[in-house]
Amino acid sequence: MKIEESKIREALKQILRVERDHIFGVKTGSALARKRELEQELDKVLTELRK
Amino acid sequence: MKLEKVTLSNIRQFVGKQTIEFSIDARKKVTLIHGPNTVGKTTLLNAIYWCFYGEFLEGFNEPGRLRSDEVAPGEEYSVEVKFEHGGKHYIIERKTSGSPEDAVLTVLQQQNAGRSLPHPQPSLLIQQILPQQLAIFFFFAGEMIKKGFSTGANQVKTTEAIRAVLGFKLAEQAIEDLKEIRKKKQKELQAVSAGTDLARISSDLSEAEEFVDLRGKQLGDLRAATAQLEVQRREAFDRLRDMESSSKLQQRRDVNERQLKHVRELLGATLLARQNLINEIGGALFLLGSAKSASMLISEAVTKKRIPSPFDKTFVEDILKSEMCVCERPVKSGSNEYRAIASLINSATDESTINKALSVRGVAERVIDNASRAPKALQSILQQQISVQGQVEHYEQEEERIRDLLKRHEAQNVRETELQLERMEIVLRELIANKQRTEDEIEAKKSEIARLKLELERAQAASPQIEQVREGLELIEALVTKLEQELQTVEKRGIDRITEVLNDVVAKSTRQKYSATVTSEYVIRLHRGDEGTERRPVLVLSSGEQRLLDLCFISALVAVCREREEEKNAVLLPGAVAPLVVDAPFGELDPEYQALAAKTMMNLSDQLILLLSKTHWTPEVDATIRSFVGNEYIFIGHRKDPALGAESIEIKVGQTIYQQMRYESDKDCTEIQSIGRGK
Repeated sequence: MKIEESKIREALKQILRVERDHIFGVKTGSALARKRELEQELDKVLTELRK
Repeated sequence: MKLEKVTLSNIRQFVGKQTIEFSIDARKKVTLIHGPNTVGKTTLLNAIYWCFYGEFLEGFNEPGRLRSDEVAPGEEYSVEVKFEHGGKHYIIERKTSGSPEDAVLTVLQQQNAGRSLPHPQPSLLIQQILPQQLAIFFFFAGEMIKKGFSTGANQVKTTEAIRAVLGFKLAEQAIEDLKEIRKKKQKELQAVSAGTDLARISSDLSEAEEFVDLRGKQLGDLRAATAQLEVQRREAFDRLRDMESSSKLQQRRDVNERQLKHVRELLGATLLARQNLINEIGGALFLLGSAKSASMLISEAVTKKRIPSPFDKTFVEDILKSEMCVCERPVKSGSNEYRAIASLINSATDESTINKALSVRGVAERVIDNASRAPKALQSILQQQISVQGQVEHYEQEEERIRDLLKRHEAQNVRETELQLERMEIVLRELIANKQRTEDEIEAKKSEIARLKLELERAQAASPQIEQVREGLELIEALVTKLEQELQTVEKRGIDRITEVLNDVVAKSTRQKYSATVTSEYVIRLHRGDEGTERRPVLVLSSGEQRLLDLCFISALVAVCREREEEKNAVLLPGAVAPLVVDAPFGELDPEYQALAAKTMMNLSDQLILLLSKTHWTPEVDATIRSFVGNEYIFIGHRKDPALGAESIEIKVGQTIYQQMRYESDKDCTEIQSIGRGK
């Protein structure tokens, strides 16, 4: 699967936003909840890529 | 983020409602606030911090007493800050009539047409814009630099905080999380490809990746150990710097010794002079009575013409010999007149007797004269003796003090510290070599991983189920690789930029022959040595130089964040970007360094708010930043009791002299007066 650079950048921005919200206390929840949210983000990106 | 306005209502010295508008003009980016000690500069800094986070900065005295003493207990007090972030305007307010921790926070977000809507989660919004963990890099008192930033015992904590402010911790956490998810996906892949060749390749790949993860963690540990050692090294430098002052103490002791020797000699001479005087005047005092009697008797004899006597022996003998009186009457031998004249010989005097009498009188008069001078001379020499003895005592005490100080320094043992430093340098070199080795191992393993992945790709091509999991893994792989690259690039660029700023500062300071480097743990190191020669580390910096570098370091850090935020399409955003609000930034810097620090801070910030006392407001600082000053305020302290220190405090800003303390008020408070508004 060929992934465009711009798509990777967008995906990373979204992942870092999730991390930021968790690390700086904007969102509360365990590390597990954080990883689950990240996985959901990854799934969204994959769905987009497959379109 | 830019601060636009702060309104203080009944906050400590600020009675009633008072406002400061910060300059937001890009060319006039500096807001200056002048105020003497105790009128509220630190209160303002902490009021802004409290408004954002409901807490106070370290070192803020009596945080529970935020309400002004001049208003009734139970009366409301509040801080309101207006700021802009990402093109949106916000007003945050923290208000209470109880204790500061009970205050209620509200955030209004300004909408179109001047409408404002309250934000449902104000604390979370603030955390998103400027996380509290990072705010210490933007809102701080100058003295806290020494305590908490680039040096000292907090180095490890500081390194973490710096990495957070730059956004690296987020990236590292994301990489770690993605790798965890990757492991999970690999297990899924193993499950769907069980019994095929894929299982072996996949297992090898997992093993190789685990190896890289393990080494990556070891690398992190090595980094932490290096940072820790850097801290110890810096502390040893500081100790050595204190010890270096013992050479100055020794010089002081030598000077003192010379002075002591001199005054001791002076004391000896004075005591000898006193002894001589006593010898001299002691005899005179003893003989004073006799001398007075002798002098009186001789004077009386002179008065009575007994001395010299009219009956000079030669004269009488001449009369008797010539048998002729002075009146030319004959004086016959044997006659009554002759016998009468002859009897005068017994009471007549000769020259030697006269001389003896006069000599005795002379001696007696000298004795009397000496005795009369005695009390004054004795008093004078005693005074001299007391004065010299005082000096001797002073220099002896000084000698004692210096000896004590030297003993303390000796106890710390310069050589031992130098040896410790040498040992640390060796361990540090080993750690760095270890880090390099680990990095090489990781690189080698990564090549193996790349090969295994190719094999895996070929083996997986056929199955659609495997293909789906593999795509997920590929995405994760691409994300991790990209993020690691970004992290590496951005971190290197950040360190290069900070180094560039520091070298620029060093080039303009008195240490222009030196060069600065910043380690991967964000420790500043200075080196000396020209190009081509081996660079030697500078072990000891003065506290002024250290503060200058620390201030510039923070400014450079903030600049790196700002520049990165402005980068188009940047993936790795900084943790925060905010103005610098600094209370008493310059501390013990001399005027030249104050100007250098002010210029660096101004050049590197988008918005700079400086809270300055008179000692920070030097002509050099004024000349450096004047053209960039937008709004300017002065805090005027009003006092009701002149006895509380009726000292007149004035400050000259431009051509105007402002009185900073007034003693005519019915309450103790501070007035915020605008003295300049740049456009």
